[in-house]
Amino acid sequence: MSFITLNNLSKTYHTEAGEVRALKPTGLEIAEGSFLGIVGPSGSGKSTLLTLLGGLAKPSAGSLLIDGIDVYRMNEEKRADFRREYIGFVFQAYNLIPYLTAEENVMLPLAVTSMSSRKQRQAALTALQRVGLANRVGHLPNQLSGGEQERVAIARALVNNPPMILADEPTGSLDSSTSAEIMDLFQELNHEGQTILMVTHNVENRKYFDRVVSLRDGCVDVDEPKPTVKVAATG
Amino acid sequence: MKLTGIAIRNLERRKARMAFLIVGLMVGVATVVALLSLTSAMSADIQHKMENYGANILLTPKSNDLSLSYGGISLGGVSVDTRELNQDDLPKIETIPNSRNISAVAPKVLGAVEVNGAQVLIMGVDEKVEFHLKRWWSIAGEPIGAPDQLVAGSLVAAKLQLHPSDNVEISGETFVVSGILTETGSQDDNLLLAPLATAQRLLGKEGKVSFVEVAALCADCPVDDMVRQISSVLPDVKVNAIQQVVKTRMHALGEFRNFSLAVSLVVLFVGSLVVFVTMMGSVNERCHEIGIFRALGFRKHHVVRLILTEAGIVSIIAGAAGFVFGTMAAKGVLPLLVENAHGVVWNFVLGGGSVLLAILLGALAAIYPALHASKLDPADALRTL
Ligand SMILES: Nc1ncnc2c1ncn2[C@@H]1O[C@H](COP(=O)(O)OP(=O)(O)OP(=O)(O)O)[C@@H](O)[C@H]1O
Ligand SMILES: [Mg+2]
Repeated sequence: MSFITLNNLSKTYHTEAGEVRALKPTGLEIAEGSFLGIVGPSGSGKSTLLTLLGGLAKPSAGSLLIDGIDVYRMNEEKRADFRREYIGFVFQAYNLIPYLTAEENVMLPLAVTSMSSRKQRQAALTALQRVGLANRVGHLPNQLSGGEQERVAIARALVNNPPMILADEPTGSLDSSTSAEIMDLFQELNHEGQTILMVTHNVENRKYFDRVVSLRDGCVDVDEPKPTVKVAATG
Repeated sequence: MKLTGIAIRNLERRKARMAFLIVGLMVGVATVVALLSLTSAMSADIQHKMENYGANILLTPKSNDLSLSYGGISLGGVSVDTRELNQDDLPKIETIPNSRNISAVAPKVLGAVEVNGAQVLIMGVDEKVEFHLKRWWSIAGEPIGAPDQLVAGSLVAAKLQLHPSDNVEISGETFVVSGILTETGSQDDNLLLAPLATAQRLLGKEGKVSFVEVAALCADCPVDDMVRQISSVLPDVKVNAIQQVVKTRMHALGEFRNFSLAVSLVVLFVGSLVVFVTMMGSVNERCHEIGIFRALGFRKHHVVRLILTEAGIVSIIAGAAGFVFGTMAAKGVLPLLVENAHGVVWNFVLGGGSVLLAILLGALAAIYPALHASKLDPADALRTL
């Protein structure tokens, strides 16, 4: 069985203007160690899919299995624990907490664990070093450039060594050279064995992915597994 | 870093918002504290005054005749053959079971004398007791200090054109007017006050007193019981309780208390509103933030604890500061309302109450965004802003 399995997973938003079938029933299997790109036109359901994959919103139907765990059979609190242990999020808007320094933002996922403050600090520093920001530890988010904030967000996603990282347009608001640096960083992480699922608009980024799922109107339009898949960890 | 650490960072780095919250809560708490302290100090003051001053039992001779005076208008001037009490009987008052509640026994003799050809009502008093008992009396000059001194009521002084240290002649004896009673608006204005023994001699009523005022020592002592007890030791005396003054004051205090309560409620309401509006203003911001926390794997109770910790810190500071400022304000204002006040004390039970009140209000206002956000999926919470 693959690491991530979607069984007819779907999401319909109910609004006053009517129903929006953002994601139609979708089946998908994703192997551990993948660097999966999710592409498609605006409004095609990319973010919706990623949100469902991250256990952030309840699907309308279907199920999601990650590492054999039925994510939406868990209650909300258990699902929070699951997110903390399994998933690192990188949001387009960075979503850093404005009143916490880079280091403190990175420590956040550890703040509700039993880890000692000293260990937390160590882990945060390691993660910040990993993204090349060891010299910005004490800065507040508004004292950092966009690219640096992005790196803090990535460090925060990495800090508790989750098996998978979900990123929604992480390069959406960065210039092309900074984008390339960030994508290189993701690629390095992937080469170290990190599973990464990334939503992107940018066709430039396609070359980094080992598989691209293309959405249209809430359906998987094209699914291109590259022949050069590095590791198919579990068959 | 733990939840408390996160809460403290938030407060440290958003000082303006925190200051606004603290001030809002503090003003509410301080007002309540100030008004509570004031009412309690004022009732303590009234209590104290009633314990020390003012008669509440009146002893008069038993008379078989119907009264010839009505509404202060007495027919035929001062009745000549009024009955009197025996001064020797008065020590019996001190033998009643509730005698320790008696703070003063003030005997008086009344009669008419001729001064400069005019009939004047003279009242002999035990000057030490009397001037203490009638603390609302104010005297231009000196109170009576010697057997040959008099104090004149304001109307008497005006009629006879008396001034402090003037001499007056009564029945061939010369007296000194030591002071003039400033206008009281009562019957006292018509009196010439003299030492008891002197008046008794002038009136030929040695050993007799016309009536006695007794001051009982406490606000809620059993005046009715004491009336009965005095009646039984002095069967020939009419004993009445007079509580007019006390009742009037208590009534005024009661009104002040209601007023305080109303003001407290209003200010507290406004204070909570300030806190609430501040909190609501940041609901979306907060909601987004809570979305981040939840996405990163905080459980709902972690988020609630985080927010309550924050509100708790703000509330404790606001409650304590409100208590301090409220008490100080009461200390400042009390002298304007009550003279010779005993003062407002630091009441730490009230302090504890203030902090609890602030925590309650702060938590109520803080919990709303938390509840709102925790109803949403983290994905929806993240979308708010
Ligand atoms: N909370 C919501 N309530 C109602 N409709 C929603 C909600 N979120 C998304 N939608 C709708 O669902 C559809 C898919 O949205 P989604 O955000 O997944 O698109 P997307 O592919 O990420 O687009 P983009 O590239 O512009 O970010 C859209 O039509 C959108 O309007
Ligand atoms: Mg999107």
